[in-house]
Amino acid sequence: MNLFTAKWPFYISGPLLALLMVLSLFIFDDVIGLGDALTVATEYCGGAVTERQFGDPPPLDWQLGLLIGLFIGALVGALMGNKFKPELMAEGGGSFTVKTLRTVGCGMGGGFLVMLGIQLAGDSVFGQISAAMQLSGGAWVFLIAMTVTGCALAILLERRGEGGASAKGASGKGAAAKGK
Amino acid sequence: MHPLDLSDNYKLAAAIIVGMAFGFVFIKSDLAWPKSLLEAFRLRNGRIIKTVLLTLAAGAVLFYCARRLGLAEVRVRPSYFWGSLLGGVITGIGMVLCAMTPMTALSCLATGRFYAIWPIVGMLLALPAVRLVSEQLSRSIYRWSEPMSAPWEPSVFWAVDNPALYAAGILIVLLLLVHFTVGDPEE
Repeated sequence: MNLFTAKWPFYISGPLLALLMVLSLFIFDDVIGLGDALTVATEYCGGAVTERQFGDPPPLDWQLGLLIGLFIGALVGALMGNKFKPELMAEGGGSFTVKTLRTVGCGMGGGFLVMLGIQLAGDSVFGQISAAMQLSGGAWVFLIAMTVTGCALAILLERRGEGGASAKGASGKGAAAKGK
Repeated sequence: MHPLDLSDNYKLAAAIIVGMAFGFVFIKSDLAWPKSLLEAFRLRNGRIIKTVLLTLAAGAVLFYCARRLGLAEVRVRPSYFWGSLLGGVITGIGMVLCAMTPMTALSCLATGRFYAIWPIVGMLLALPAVRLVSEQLSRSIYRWSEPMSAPWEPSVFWAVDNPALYAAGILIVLLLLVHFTVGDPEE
């Protein structure tokens, strides 16, 4: 297996992520996460909108540096594994209008809810994973609630989709039989 | 030994390098792909579930060792039971809709998936919305329960009362369960 081009199995990526999170605690003396960097970006954009001009850019602190590094690292990883592929629409079938509405609506709605939940809980998802490694009770409550809700909703939505599809298929077959 | 006390420029350089490592691992472990994350929520792709479970298990042990050696200290933001619970539920719903977190959305965008911009826009819009209702939140959710206590650390790892040992043990059992039931579609 070529480590630079192939996908990594869980027994490599899992401990590596854990090591990176502990290393971040050692280097930055704080949990990682982009929540604070996004807050800075929002404040800057909000200030630009209200004052109708771009002010001085926010200072380049370590969290913004993490954001830049993350972008570069993902780009390098994608290029090395031949995974770089420009796409405008999220995966899934349907007409152009349906795909556009789903990409924009689900994307923005989902992103809004993710950040809302993160703000309520007090830290980003990877920040919560890092806090769970430090055995924080709140982080475990967050992660368990997120996983249970996410799994239940994803399975229910998928079953509803399958049910709808099979019902449509059945009604379609029925209509075809009637036509015959 | 104690956590590094880097000056601003060195800290920035370290952040870029650590960020690059995270971005690279996200791509290699499939965490950056919304489809894989959604398949994990549907319990059809055990690869991501196993990665997260092993991250937590290994992390609990590694952090315990790092703390005992004085390399890291507990850095946990204050949390409230109801805030964490409601936050987890809302984040779970949001993740099923967009299948991204702030970090994975940025990684996904870097791979040319320009549709990842929409979750990022949604996240940026949520911040002022939270600020608008923050006063009401402080008077309601955050008062329903007391702040959760800081994690407790025993002096010996192989002790009956060490929560890190239990956490790692339970996570490994869960990992084995996922390995033999959910599996990995690519294996």
